[in-house]
Amino acid sequence: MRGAFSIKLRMCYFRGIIPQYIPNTDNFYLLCIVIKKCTYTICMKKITFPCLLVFFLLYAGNASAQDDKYKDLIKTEGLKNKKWITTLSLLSDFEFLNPANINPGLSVSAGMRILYKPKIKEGKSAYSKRVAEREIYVKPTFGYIYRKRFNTGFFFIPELAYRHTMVKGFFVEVNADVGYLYNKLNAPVYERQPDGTFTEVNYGFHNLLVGGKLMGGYDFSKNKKTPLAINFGAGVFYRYPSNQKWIRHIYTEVGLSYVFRRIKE
Amino acid sequence: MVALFSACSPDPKPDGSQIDNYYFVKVGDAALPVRVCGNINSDIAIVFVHGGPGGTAQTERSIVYWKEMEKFYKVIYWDQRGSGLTQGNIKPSEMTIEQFSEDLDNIVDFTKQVAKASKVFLHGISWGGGLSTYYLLDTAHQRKLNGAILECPAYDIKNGIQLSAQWMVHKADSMIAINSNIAYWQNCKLFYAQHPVLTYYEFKQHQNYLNQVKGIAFNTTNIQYQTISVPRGELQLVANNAEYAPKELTINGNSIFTALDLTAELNKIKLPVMLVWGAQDGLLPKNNLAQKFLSNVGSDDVTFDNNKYPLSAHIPHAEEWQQFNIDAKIFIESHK
Repeated sequence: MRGAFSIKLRMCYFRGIIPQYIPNTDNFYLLCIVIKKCTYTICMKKITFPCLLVFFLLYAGNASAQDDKYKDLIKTEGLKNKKWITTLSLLSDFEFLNPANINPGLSVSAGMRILYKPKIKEGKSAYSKRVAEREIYVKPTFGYIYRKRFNTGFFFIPELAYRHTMVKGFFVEVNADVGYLYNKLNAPVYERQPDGTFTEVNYGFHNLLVGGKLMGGYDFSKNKKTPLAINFGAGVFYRYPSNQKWIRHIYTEVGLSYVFRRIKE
Repeated sequence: MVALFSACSPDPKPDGSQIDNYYFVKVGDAALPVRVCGNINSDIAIVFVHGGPGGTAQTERSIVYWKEMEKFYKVIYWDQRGSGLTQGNIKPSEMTIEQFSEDLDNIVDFTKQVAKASKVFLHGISWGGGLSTYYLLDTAHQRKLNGAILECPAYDIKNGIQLSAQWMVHKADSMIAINSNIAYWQNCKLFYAQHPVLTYYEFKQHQNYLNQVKGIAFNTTNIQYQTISVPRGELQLVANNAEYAPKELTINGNSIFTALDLTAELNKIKLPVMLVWGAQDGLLPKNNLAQKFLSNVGSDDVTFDNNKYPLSAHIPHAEEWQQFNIDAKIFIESHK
């Protein structure tokens, strides 16, 4: 009996929940011993059935009380419940010309969870694993967008993201971006020198980047132990300056993430 | 994924006799896009100076007129600073006709050195014609060129735009006379009465009225386009530049809409010039402006036929491109 409860206990730890008061684990063990001994006594000394019933009613009353307390008692203090995400995303930067102008890009990000607040959903039993995750990440992101014969924009954004992962593993994520963009020109750049000759030079522009995106996806690591997640979404960013003005970009993103989860007491 | 693959599709390659190279020419903080197309073996280049201000030359190539020209010559399509697909952070103080002329000089030198064309002709249209005219006022610039094709050149915007307003008021009277949307055209006349001097702020509305009476493109049925590839630029950049350039462009510190008049200096131009003006032009009416140019230009080698381009308004090389092809080739061949 104790072994079975230990397994349940470990599973709760894995889920990031501390069962500080899982229904009287030690008391229950003692209770089992008592029952065992009483049963022996009953059998041996033929104590009447009502006595046995009293014991069971006592324990049943106790267990019911634990069910009611369960929601309040599960807490995360005292446990280092860490989670990292690395994501590789394909980007499509859209210009709504006729025909639509689509520019490909790629980004790599590393998400570090800085805030985690689980939300316990009521399950079928007291030992249900129905937990919704509410998390805030810092996601340093590097990437580029390629615009043929125009420029390639290399960017670095220390994204701030809020992710809400539902019980079944689906998540939505909102990102706020402020970063740096370097636009390198995508054709040979020539400059006239003081002697009148033209020489090829390296040239690009430094820009401030401000934007945001809305993502959705599925985190397989939530319930299935597969450390992967897929995500897709759309965003907008503005670059500055270009002739003293902001230039808007609209893009879509499809990504695959590797999810590291680490539980440590 | 389909979108990504389509974005990576290659440009159609020109055949062996043609060139299609893309460059940027850096002048200060501006990166001017320059596309070199046409006959790879030709040492004659036409530098196309686009209109606007704030337009672009990167889509110009779709006009079928250039298909014929590219068979024989190199054509240089470049965007002016603060215009089209030009990149960089260009300050309003740099948006002067003097700086634009310096940029054009860079492009002419680039054409000679990098595009390997020893004989260079300018082809300026509308505002581009005005800029070309300003560029030609410098004798050193003229020496670099073999000739200039000026198509409805905006060499005198100060008076030209007022002539355009008068032209538009007469058109409005004509529309009222035939009982066509009388209230609208009376409102149009009221607009010009309330704005006796047109500036950048009224120019957009003025263009809107002109388009409704075919004052910019008259012979639209003859305009033909070909499919071309264009740089994957930013749509909002093009839109911003279309506003930025006309708003900020100055000559001697004043807006070009109220101050650009090069009439008194036209006598400095000694270079062979081909002048083309559409008879139906409402933006820069041919009457008065064409004759004034001919009377003042210093060149004794001016090609102009007052009877040609009767069906064209402001863009004869698109509206009557067949005739323009013939005339341009004759002019270039006789001055190369």
